[in-house]
Parts: sequence; C-alpha cells; structure tokens
Amino acid sequence: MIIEDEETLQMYVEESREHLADIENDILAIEECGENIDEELVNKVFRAAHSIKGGAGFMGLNNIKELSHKMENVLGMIRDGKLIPNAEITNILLEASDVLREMINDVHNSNDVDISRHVDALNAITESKSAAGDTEKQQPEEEQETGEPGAREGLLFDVEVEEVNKAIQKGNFIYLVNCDLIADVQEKGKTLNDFISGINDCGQILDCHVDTESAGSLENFLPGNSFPMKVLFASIIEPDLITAVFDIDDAKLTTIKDENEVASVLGKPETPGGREEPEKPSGETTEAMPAVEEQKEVKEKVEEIPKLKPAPAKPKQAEPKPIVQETSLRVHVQLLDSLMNLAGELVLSRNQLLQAVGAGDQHQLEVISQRIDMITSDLQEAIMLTRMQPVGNIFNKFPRVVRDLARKLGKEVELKLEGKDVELDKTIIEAISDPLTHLVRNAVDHGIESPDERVRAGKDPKGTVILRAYHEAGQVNIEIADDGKGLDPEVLAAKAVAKGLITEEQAKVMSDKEKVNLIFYPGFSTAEKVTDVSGRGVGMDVVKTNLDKLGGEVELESTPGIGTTIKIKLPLTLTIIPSLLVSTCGDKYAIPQINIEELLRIASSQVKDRIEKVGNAEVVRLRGQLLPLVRLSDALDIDRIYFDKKNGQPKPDRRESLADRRSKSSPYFYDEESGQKPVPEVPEERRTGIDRRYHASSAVNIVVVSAGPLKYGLVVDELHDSEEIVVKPLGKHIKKCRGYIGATILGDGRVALILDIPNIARMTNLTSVDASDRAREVSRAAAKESEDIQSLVIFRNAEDEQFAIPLGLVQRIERVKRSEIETIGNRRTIQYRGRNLPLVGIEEVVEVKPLADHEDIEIIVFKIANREVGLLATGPIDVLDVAIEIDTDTLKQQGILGSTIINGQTTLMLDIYGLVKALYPSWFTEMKTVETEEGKDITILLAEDSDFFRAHVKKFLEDEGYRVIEAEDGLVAWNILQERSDEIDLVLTDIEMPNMDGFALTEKIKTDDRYKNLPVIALTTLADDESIEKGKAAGVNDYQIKLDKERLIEGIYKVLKEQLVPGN
Amino acid sequence: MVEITSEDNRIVFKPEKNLTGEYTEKLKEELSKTLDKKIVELVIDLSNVELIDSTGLAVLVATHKSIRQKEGELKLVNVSEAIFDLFKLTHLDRFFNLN
Repeated sequence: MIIEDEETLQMYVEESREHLADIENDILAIEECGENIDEELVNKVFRAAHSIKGGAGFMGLNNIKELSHKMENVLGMIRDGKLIPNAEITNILLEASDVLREMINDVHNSNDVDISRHVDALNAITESKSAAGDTEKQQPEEEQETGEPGAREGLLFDVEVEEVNKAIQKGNFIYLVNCDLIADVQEKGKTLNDFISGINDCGQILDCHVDTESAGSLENFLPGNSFPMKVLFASIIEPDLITAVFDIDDAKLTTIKDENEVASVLGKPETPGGREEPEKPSGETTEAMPAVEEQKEVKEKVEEIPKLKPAPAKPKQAEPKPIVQETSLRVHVQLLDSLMNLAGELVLSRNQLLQAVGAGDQHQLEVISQRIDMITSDLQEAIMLTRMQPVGNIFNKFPRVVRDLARKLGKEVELKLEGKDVELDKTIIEAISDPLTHLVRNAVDHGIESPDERVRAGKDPKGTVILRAYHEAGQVNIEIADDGKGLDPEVLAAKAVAKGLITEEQAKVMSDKEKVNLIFYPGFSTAEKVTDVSGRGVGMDVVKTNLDKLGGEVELESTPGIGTTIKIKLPLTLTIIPSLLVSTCGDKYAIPQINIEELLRIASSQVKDRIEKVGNAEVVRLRGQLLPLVRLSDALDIDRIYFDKKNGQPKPDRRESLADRRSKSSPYFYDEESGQKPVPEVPEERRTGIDRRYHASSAVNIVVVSAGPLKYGLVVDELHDSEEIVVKPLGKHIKKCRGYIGATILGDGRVALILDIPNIARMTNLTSVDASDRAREVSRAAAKESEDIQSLVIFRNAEDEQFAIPLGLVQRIERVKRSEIETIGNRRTIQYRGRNLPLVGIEEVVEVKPLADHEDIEIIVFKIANREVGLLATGPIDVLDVAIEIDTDTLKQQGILGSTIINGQTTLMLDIYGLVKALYPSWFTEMKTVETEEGKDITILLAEDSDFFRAHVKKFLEDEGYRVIEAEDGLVAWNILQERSDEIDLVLTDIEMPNMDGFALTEKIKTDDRYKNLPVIALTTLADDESIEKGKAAGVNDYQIKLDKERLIEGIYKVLKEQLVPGN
Repeated sequence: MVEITSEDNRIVFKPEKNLTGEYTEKLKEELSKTLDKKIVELVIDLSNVELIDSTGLAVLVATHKSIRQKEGELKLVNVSEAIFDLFKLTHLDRFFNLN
C-alpha cells in the first residue's frame, strides 16, 4: 500500500534524498577509519538509514523499508564494534545505498524492485557475525525500551527522563499524542492492531497510557464515544508529517522540544490534558531539536511547505511517474521571512505610489521611488540567495565515483576536493553534474595510469585527481586536474585526421593547445577501446555541448607525462549584476563591476607623460607600474569616431595612438608602423593652433580591469554611471562574438552589450605572461633611466625650504657676511674682487619665504648672459649625486622648473635663467629665432636619456619658440627621424646614451643621404677636447654645454641660419 | 456464542470470535451477568480472538476494573501474538494480568 497523499510522499522523497546525499561519502569515510570507528559518523549514517526506514514504513514502501532496515543492522554492528568495515562490506553498503536511491527516485515502482540480492548480502554480513548481535540489531529501537516498570505512582508516564533524552540525542522528535481510540481509530474504520503497529513502525513508543478510567466499569460502561490514549512517541519523522502517521488533528499532538520540557511532561502528575491547546506543531521548527552536527546543516534549511494541504503549484493527481529532477528547494526560514517582509514592504510602497500618482504629488513620488528602489534591491538579493547552492552538493558524489572506478580499473586514485563552498545558481549546479561526472570518470579512466605504469614513470603509484571550484572575474571556474599521462597532441591530431575530422593541412598549422582541444570535436573518443566506464557513448563533445548550453566554456590543457587539466568556466547567467556603463563611438557598453579595478582619467595635459609606447603597444604608467592599454573600439573592431566639439557631429578619428608624439616611447620591440602619421583628413585640427589634444574632451578615460591575473586598461570614450543590469543571453546570431557575455536593456530602453573582459584580453592578444614580462622589461628600463645621476647643489633660502640647482651651472660658491651686502636702489650687490656682483634673492621672483636671517650668507655665483650674478642662499650647502625625477607640474612657477624629492624633502629645482631674466630683463637681448619659409615653427629632435636634462633643455627650447620632439636615446631618435624627417629641422643630441650614443646617431645621420644636411648639435655636460674632436669627426655641426642656455640658443640659431637660409 | 465454564470461584470465558463491532456489546452483557456472582477469578480465554477493536479493549478494561472493585481478578489467557503486541505497545500488559 502506498500512501495516497502525493504531497506527503514527495516530502518523504525529498527528505530521503537528503539523507542519501551524504551517505556515500560517509560510508567511504567509515571504511577509511577501519577499526578506529568514528562513532559520530557511523551514527550519522545509521540515522540516515533509520530515518528512511521510518518514513518508508509509514508510507507503505516495503522494499525501501526492508533494505534500509538491513543496512541499519549492519551499521549498528559497525557502530558497536562488532563488525570492522572492510572493502567488501563497504561495497555491499554502497550498492545497497545505490538501490535505495534508485527506489527513492522512483518510489511508485519501488515495491517492484528486486532487492533480494542486496538484502541477502546484508543479511550474510550480520549473520556471519554473532547471531545474538543480529537479533539485537534487528530492533535497535528496543535498546531504548529498557526502563521497565518501576511504576512510580502519580506519574502519568512510566519512563525515565534520561531515556527520552537519549532518544532526542539520537535525532528523534518527541511527541505527546492524545488520541482517542474510538474517534480516531474505530470510527475511522481502522483496527486497533494496525493503528498501534503502524505507529510503532515509524518510531518508538516510549510510553503509552490508555486512560482506563474513562472506560468506566462494566456496570457503568462509558466508552461509546471516547476512549483516550496518550502516547509518548519518539520518531525521526518531522513534525509536519507526524499527524499523518496518527491521522489525527494537529491539536491533539504536542511536540516536545527539549529536555526540560520532557521532564515537566513526565513529572506532571495530572494528565497533560491541560495541554489541550498545544502550540501548532508546524510552528515548532525542527531547529529546536538538539540535533547532532551533521543534521544541523540540514536543519538550518527548514522546509516551509504547507503540510498536507496541496500546494497550488503541484498537480495533485498521483500519476505514477518517476520523480527525477528536484522540483522544490529547501530554504532557510529566515530567508523566507525576510522575503515575506520585503513583499509586505513592496505592497505598502505600491499603495503609496498609487496614492501619490493619484494626487500628482511630485515630492511624494520621489520618496516612493527611492523606497521602491531600495526594496527591489533587497528583494532581488534575497531571491538570489535562495537560488545559490554550494557546489559541494555535486562534488560530494565524486569520492564514490572515483573510488569505485579506481577499484574496477585496479588503479590507486586519490580525489581532492577544493572550494566546496563556492556557490552557484541552482540551475547551473544541476546542469553541470553530468558533464562533471563524465570528466572525472575520464580523468580516472584515461588520465591516471595504472600503478605499475606510474612507478615506471617515476611517479607516486597513487594518482591524484583534483576537483576545484573557485571564483574568478565574476565567473565560477571548476577545474578537474589529474597527474596522469596527459594527452599527446600529435596522437590526437593524427586520430582526428584519421577520422576525417580535420585535414592534414589543418593539423599542421594547429598549436599543441588546439590539438588537445580536438578532443571536444564531435565524434572523437580517445580511448583505445570503449570501456564500460567512460565509453558510454557519450563523448567529450557532449560534455562541451552541455556546457555550451549553460554558456560555460571548457578548456583543456595537457602536458604529456605530467597530467591534464580541464577548466570549466561558468558564466554569469540568469543573474543581475552591478556594472559600469561606458561608451565608445557613441554606443553604450556594460562592464561587470567584478572585473573593474579602478577608473583612471588622464587629463589631456598629462597624456604625454603618462601614456607611453612599449614596442607598438600602448601602456599607461600607474603608480610606478606599466599597464597595457586596449582601446575598446579597436578590440571590438569599430571605426573610431569622435564628436566634433563644435557641432556635435561624429567624425572619423584617425589618430593612430593615444600616446601622442610627445610621449615617451620605449625602445623595446619598437615597431616602425606604430609611429605617428600626419592627419591630413582633419587638417583644421592641426593648423588652427587649438590643438585637440589639449581640449578637455581629449582626456583619456581608462577603465582598469582585471581578468584573472591579468590587469589592463580599457580605453573608452566616456564613463557613465554604475547600474545594476539584468544579464540577457545573446541572440544566436551574435553568440559567436567573443567580446560579449550578454546584453542588457538600459533604463532608457536601449540595449547595451556586456563586455567579456577576459575574452577581450584574449582577442587583443594580451596575455598575462606577455604583459608581466613586458612590464617588467619596461620597468627595468625605467629604473635604468632614473639611475641617471645628476650632481645637484642643494641649498636653502628660508630654513625649511630646500632648493637645488645643477652643479654644472655653478661657477663658485662664496660665503659673505650679511653686513657686506650693499643695497643700491632696490638692487643688492656685493663688492667682489673689485667689482660689483649683482645679487638676486629667490623670494624676489618666486613666491617663497624670505631669506633666513643668518649672519653668514652663501652666495652661489652663476654666469648668465655673459655676466656673473650671485644668488643669495643659506646653508648648509651640499652637493649630492642623486637620481631624480622632476615633477614639472605641481610646483612649477616662474623661476622654478619643478620639484623633486631629495632625502625625503621636497626640493624645488631652481631655474636660474628664469630668475635672472625676471629681474634683469635688459641683460637678455632678444634672441633671434629662425623661421622656415613656410612660417612653421622650427622643430628640434632632442635626444637625451636623462629625464631631467631633457625636460630642462626642452624648456629652454620651447621658451624660445621651438617645437621639440623628445627621444630617450639615439635609437629612438633615429627611428623618429626616419618617420618624421620632414618635420625635423635640427637634431640636438646628448653624447652618452644607452642603445645608441650621440656619436653613433650623428654618424648615422650624416652618412644617410636623406639626412646628411640635417644639422646636429651635440650636447654634453662638460665638453672636453677629446670628445669635441670625436664629435667633429662624426659630423657634429656644433658642440654645446647642456645647461648654458645662451650659448645653446645662440648655437642653434647660428646653425639653423646657415642651414635654412642659405646665402645669409 | 460465548463459552462459559465455571468451577469454584473461577469462571472461564471463551469468546468464540474477534472482539470487534457488535460482538463486543454482547460480550459486555455476558460479562456483566457473571459479575453478579461472587467470583474470585475471571479468566478470559482469547484463543479464538485475533482482533480486538477499541470498544473491545474498553470492555476488557472495564471488566478488569469491575472485578478489581470486587476484589477479584481478571486473567487473560491464550493471548495471540498480535494482541500481546498490542498490549505491550500500549503498555496495557502492565495493566492486565496476562498469561
């Protein structure tokens, strides 16, 4: 007889599934323990079997009951140490649990299943041991019925409190049932025997009290309508089911929660009739039970299914069809409460909204919209939580799979599980179960070698399979890694060719990785022979197809002899994700927030300093590290456009690189293609003098994204808001576009594609190895650059402000007494070697604190415009050789080149020329500059490896109205020259430079027909005769000292004049 | 329908079928009659009884109590396994004098 109530049956089935879920691993663990039994663990399995048995008895599922009962017996013997679990026993138990599971999954036909083999096997185990033990175990419940009579007067129940507690500790629920033998039994057409034994089948009657008083006596026979009986009952059946066992009203049943209550019930002399209105059992959650650890996990998620009342969603007709897929889900009551709460809030808000709309109250509407916004987010979060399940749910079945398989194949395999707690959407969890099983089986069957083979290969005879789940970049990755023989790409390729899957030509051009991934081709099976293990007619292609359906990705990596790793990436589907909206070329895209590290906006004035080229790749300097840049439009292969700032019309953008020509370019991997080309299509942009590069809109917006270990900058046109978006799968026709993981609909109804950040990296051939190697190389180069040592004179003006000036500019330093300084007019001088030395103070030009009031004053003497001038300073004066990098933005002003940090102190780099010029403009004759015929500015290519000098000299030149193209060394200069020779009018080169020094550069220029007329001026810190000679020999037109501005400008002027205005 | 044998102060009652339904009524009446007599021991032989329903049980309980009031004793003999289990489970085995 199978119970009619489909609902109850369903609940039983689900509960039993849960009990069975862990049984396998636990049995395996028990086997592992061997003699040292873990009583807790055995008890857990015992309870599981016991619970299944209990429910089955009550449901009339005789086969299930029988089998679980036999299992229970064996487990009981193990628990009592009468039986030591060996592989044989474990196998029998495992097989029995399999059959049990099958029967549970198809309860309606369970009674037709032949279980005799398993029952016999289990019986054989128990019988082979002591027969006494057998009978004892047959009725394990009876153990508890020890507390015989003792008949204490006044107590209703004749049972020890301890006994009840013991039952509770075993995971039982304790019920106090008030039933009426007339109303609940006789009048319902049941026989007393059936009723009582029915109760006994699904639990243990701790005590029973038939109210003999109410029977009256023969003279005064009362029972015509009532013959009450009270039962103290221990059962593993949960409160929501128990009333069905007794077939009585809830009201007649009390659940006893804890030990205290037990004592009070038992100790109560009167009949517990006072409990006529007990709390509803449904309200008393199972959480109250002091369940044992393992069960706690289950208990945490208490089912809140209305008992016995048919749920509207479920069809009530009991069509006997197998229940395979889970159709319901256990959810924590707390979560449900919060959902209910939120739903309530939502209703309230709706009411308010309707009112506000009716009244047209704008303010109120705003308030409500905020409220609804909040509620929606909370609601969404709560609902998502109900769907998330730990991946351990499916991982846990693999130890068994691996064990069985390994035994069958005679291999030794250890399975390691990692990341069981990683949670995935329920639908995904369910769908990956089969593909994963297949992959794990494959790993054991085909991956791991036999112990002999492994020993021969010098490996541990025991193979390892690792199943690992982890989060990465908004995806969940699952890896199945084995340390087996790996896949031979050549063998695979040959097989694929033999099977006609690919042509030989194709095979030839395939990479090893592509070859091993051939395994996913439909119709490909690597096993030499089809085994009953893995070769079940399902190939890897099916695995792939299944995962594809989920939007997952599968990748295989294998090293022959070392092992194989299969990586499954499960994407964000069915989810709502926070993301950042960006736009490029007028279209909006969403970037999942999880990929975003930070946002970077590089002001147009900073572009030249922060964006550099390494080879032909653009990078941005971010906190001392180089970050590769990818332009979104390039990655997606969109024609770049920009919006004309005058009329808002889109125009094609032809700029080749972000790093404009002013940017630094590193010599590594330099590619001639990557240079700047003129932009004739938009000439007005160049010629109007309003350089678009300087306009605010040409600031570069970079989204720093991470894809696993790889970080890169995605250059977009605009950054918008963060928004929560609903991920919709892409349509079939664009599914193959690798740059997107989905699409979403924005608030304004437009569609935005969601970018697949890791794939974009792949599409643009950015790989983590490349990037890090390249970055390392470049940062090495950068470090080398900054090793360029400068000799600086450090001094102070006010005591706490430090200044520096290159030693090369200083003629000498004198110490004088303050009293020796004379003031004539508003100029200060000092008598020095019979002449008046004009003195300048920094504070006269630069906004700094005045000269400290010291008696001794230092005078630093410079020679400027052919005159000597003294700079007032205070000590201590120091000369330091330091590697510096000058910040030419932050503290720049007239007379100050910029700032740097020396010995932990901010130091201003003094521009002595600027300073003197501000005070004695008359000293400087108007420098003549040369103009080319076209009236265009003279462009000077400046090759200089020191950042400091390059900046310094560049400033001189720019002050004089020259355009300057910078190059870090001779080689870069040479490359630039080749590309842009028509722009360059003069080359100014340092001598000592890495890669190609000034002499070599000059020689190259002078020996090349195209450039031999290009004037070259060599720069050096100190011109010694020998190098002047050498320079002359190389063809240098002039030789100048770097920091002697006048002479340098003069020299340039002379050279250019000769060159450009011949005959003058 | 009820076989009654009596010897000295001992009356043996042997119901001929299951103590269910209307038969319990009849049994009750018969038993009531015997109680008028002075008996020390009432034996109910349950050899022919496989089933007892709630009322039947109530009758047995009531009989037991009545006899006790008269300081007599009720003994149940030849109790079938099923009925023994029933008594045991309901803990009535402590109430009745079973043999």
